[in-house]
Amino acid sequence: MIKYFLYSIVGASLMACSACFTPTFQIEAQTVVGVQNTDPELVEMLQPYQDTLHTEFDAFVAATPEALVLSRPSSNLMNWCADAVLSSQTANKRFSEPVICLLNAGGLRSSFGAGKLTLADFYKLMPFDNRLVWVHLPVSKISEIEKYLSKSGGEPMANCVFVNGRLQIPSLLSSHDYIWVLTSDFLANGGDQMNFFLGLEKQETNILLRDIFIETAKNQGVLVLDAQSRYSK
Amino acid sequence: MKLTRRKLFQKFGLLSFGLLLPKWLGAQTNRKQHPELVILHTNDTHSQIDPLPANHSKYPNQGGILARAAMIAQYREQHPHVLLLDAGDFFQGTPYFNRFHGVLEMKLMSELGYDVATLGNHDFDIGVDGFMNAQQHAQFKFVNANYDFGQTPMAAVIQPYHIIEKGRYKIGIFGLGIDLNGLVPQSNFEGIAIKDPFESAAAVIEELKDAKCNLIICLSHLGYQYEDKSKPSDVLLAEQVSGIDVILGGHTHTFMQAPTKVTQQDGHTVWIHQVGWAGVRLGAIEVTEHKMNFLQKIIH
Repeated sequence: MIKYFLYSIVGASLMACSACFTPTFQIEAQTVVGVQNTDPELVEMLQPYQDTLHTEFDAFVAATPEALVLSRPSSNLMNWCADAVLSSQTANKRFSEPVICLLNAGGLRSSFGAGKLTLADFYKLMPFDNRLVWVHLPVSKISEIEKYLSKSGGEPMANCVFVNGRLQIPSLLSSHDYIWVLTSDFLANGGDQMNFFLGLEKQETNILLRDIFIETAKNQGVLVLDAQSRYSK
Repeated sequence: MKLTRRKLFQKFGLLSFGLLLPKWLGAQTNRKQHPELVILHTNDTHSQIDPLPANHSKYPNQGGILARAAMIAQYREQHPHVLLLDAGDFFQGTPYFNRFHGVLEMKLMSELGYDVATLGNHDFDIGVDGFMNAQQHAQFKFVNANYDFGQTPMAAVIQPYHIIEKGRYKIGIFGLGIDLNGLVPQSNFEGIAIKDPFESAAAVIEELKDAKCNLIICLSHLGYQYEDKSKPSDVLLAEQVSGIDVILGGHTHTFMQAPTKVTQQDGHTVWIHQVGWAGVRLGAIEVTEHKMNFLQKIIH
């Protein structure tokens, strides 16, 4: 009988082993096709909202020959946004002090795929109602921006580059005591820990950054891209 | 040895029993492994109602509220005890939010049957009044334990924790939010004080233990981990505060390849999980008596 009992155990072991291991983690790719499986009430509820959105936000704005990617330390999208803000304010104008643009990568919320860009794409890029602010920054405070950029790993900027821990501003002369920084009201008020802007002279505008991006894109028709890195540690 | 019919019957009868036994044992094992509870979770959905576009560089055609709803419904059909949770930043990111000011997100989360959500920093993007207006359409609970809502109207609709019973589980769910200073304009959270998240967590966990909860979940919008290791994060929370079983995180948009396991000094295990952003993943934790299976479902 012992022999037969052993047969039973061996048989049980052989067949049971395949079920011994269960992974504690897995990524499961599961395709759910919306149409058949979706609650029709949910579709019906959503429909008027989608219709409104498509009517109001599907308008064509511009095209881009290649994707604009949001990526630190520097990317074509970050460059394009900063250039758009700078050129919207400085094109065909002369200033007695250097003007740079400094935004925050965290304030840009979406990349662009190649092809047509709609109004909705620009709302996804800049969903916040942030407004343009001019900040009068003493040259002595540039070192604080440099520390910030070293730590953050790169932000959108124009008319300057960050090289080896230093902010290089081509138009800055030794005779300058101040520069103008174009930024958002959120950052000018110390948002994203940009505390170097606090307590400085500011000139508020009522211009939404999003509107600057849309207008610039419309004027360009096909976005003018610059993928050259503006940041190296 | 000559086999008699009786001996032959005995021998093959036992062998057959031996072969059938594992199937029976397997059936018992499978029965035991059938999840007693399924915890579904999202974070940082950011008003992504439609799927991401076909030319999206990383997640083309993924996400979308209808596909998410279908996946959740499928779970509910298969399992009697399903929890649906969100770790914050359900607002902001698409024109749906700019146009409808969070009302649609609240309606849809209610339709999908969310049980509990915590708040992310972007859920303050339309200020206290904006949030209060949108939340009128929410048929689920909001939790946060480290914001003191003071005299603001949010105090009436956001509790430190919420307890839900599912099967033999009494689940205590509490929320933690990130320091809003520097992330959200001051005017958007006027009257709200930010408290130490770890001290707040420790206090609320005591209450949940007193209430005999046998599963404690933290919905965290602190962020997974930072270069500055001293900044409050999910990993630091798991290391420093005892009593949490699962931290479902958000804020850092982290696509985790596996859940993080943190073993505390007393041997207690804390699991941390987060599912990226934009609703392109649905986290699913299948809970049995001694095990949790963590899955990330690609919503497509």
